[in-house]
Amino acid sequence: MRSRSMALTVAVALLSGFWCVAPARTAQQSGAAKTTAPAPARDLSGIWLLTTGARIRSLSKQTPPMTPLGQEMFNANKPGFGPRAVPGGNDPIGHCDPPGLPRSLMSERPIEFVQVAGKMLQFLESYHTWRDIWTDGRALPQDPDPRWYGYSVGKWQGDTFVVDSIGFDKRSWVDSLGDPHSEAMHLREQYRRLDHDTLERTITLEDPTIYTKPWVSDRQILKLQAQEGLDEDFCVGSEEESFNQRLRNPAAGK
Amino acid sequence: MKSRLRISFALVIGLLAVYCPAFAHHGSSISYDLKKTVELKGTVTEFVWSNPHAQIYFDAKDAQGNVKHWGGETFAPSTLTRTGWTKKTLKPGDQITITVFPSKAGSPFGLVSSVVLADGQKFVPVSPETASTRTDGEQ
Repeated sequence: MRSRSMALTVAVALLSGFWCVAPARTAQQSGAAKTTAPAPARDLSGIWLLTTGARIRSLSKQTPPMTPLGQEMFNANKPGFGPRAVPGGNDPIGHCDPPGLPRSLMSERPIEFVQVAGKMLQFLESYHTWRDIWTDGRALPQDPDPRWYGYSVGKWQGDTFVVDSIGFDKRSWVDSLGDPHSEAMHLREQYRRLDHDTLERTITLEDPTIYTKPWVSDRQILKLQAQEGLDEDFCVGSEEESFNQRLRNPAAGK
Repeated sequence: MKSRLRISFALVIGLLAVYCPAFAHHGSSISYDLKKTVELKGTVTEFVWSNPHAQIYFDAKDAQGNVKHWGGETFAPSTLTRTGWTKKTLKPGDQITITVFPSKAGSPFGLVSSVVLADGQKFVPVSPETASTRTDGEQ
């Protein structure tokens, strides 16, 4: 009896490794075809969930070497995760600042691509936001005002959709570990649909004022989801403030 | 069999809490001693069914019999819903037995490990077994 119970517990625990990367849904059970049907040409339409690894904390395990400015910004960032985690911390999302990019792309929440004439819309369930990725041939703006999600243009190169983005607000963090970026950050995302249900992505971050060489992400895999829409996920300032005042801060001894 | 399934399911949720960034979205678990639990019997004063994390506020007597007001942090409603919680699971006046990982600062706050309702229904957001084995430097 006890060994059966233990076996059941272990089996269920092992399954959690799959569930972890898709807490709100089962990525392995896409209502889309459970098949390796070929990818439609130059079509990213649909809702996609990041599945690579059990925890996506950063672009890769190894951060490129930082410049003195980068190190200074890194030291000032006090995350709630990882080896430098501190109670309370100063993660900007703790005040409902938008996560920005590339942090939002590493969320456990799905994204959705909608292709229309002249642009690709990327909806992010995380913080209920979207990006215009212009495909009409326009150039990236010169010296733009910084934005949390920057400015993006995209184009197809063969079967890969390449997105270039600049113009980022430096207040966001690259990831939940507190890695910084400047307004000069240039992001390149490359999306390649491997089959009907599988999307491969790599992200390259270049920010010479912060990192001494380009930061190339691990290969990321997203799976097509059957759901018809994204959930609502807002960071509500009043809720965040209430939580901070009533619980997070006193629990941290602040 | 039913209770074994429930406990197994609770263990899964515990694992999710340890290994899933979504469940520590704002990184507040670093504030708690995950290697220690405190069991309290108390009365719910408020159940906040809200983002970023649901909160259980309750009064419990300390060893000297003095009533202390506690705050317990748990997951976001979207996560709790998947394990059977609703906004009506707790209400002011409910008698509960609640186990928390206590604040490292010594304040009357904790990360909820388990809650047992007056009718015996038990929820285990984070089991001690899984919390004590956290790796990769995450506290």
